[in-house]
Amino acid sequence: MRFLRLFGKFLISVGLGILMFVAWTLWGTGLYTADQQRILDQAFADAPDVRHERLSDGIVEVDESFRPKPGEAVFKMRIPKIDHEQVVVQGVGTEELRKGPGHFPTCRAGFERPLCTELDEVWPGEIGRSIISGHRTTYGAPFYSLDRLQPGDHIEIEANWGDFTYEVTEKEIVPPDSTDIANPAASTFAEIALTTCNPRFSAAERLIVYARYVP
Amino acid sequence: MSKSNRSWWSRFGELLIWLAVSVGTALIMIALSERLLPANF
Repeated sequence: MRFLRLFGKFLISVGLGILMFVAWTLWGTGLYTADQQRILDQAFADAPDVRHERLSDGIVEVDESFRPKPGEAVFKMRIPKIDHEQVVVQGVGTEELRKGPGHFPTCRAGFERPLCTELDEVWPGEIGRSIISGHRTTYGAPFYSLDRLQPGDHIEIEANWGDFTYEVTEKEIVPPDSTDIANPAASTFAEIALTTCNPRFSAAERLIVYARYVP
Repeated sequence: MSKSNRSWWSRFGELLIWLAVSVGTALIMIALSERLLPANF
């Protein structure tokens, strides 16, 4: 009888621990991200303009000297349809994505495979595919409602080399280990791809939303 | 039903032990989830 009482108390304690874990995962992690976003917002506002060249139809070419370090603020992204506004950081590693959505980088110092591409870095406003990854469930869940985006919805980018508006063209659900998104065929237009886990509260698949630059 | 003669200090000590078990469980699960879940979960 004494053992059963002890075992019962143990199970109650473990259950309470599981509830604490769920609370931390769903809400506690968001406090960290909110704090980091405040710091990033200030860093972004204080950052100098990035050297770039203006090409035709609003397309730009960002100077190669722009090489932000992992976790640094790179641009701001707004998605009015899902009430999203956050500073995007450079890199898609665990530490970077805790701060906010992350821009998929080119492999160089600080960025190791498979969390980078051997292809040239593509920034918003440039020809090619700029990839942005974000949390769906934890750390503020910036892409919680990404599945609500429909073709025609707008994604606005505010960068230190210009402002760009993209229009959603399609959505795709792929296996979690698919790497096709990072190896696009040679693009002749500027697009961004937002990627996150799918469905909500699961990592069984990956959701990708493609959007094309509208001058 | 027999009344326990345990002191309040003893009961409080036991509560702290079970609270430690709860916090320990939560910390283990957080550590595991950081390792097992994908970066953008």
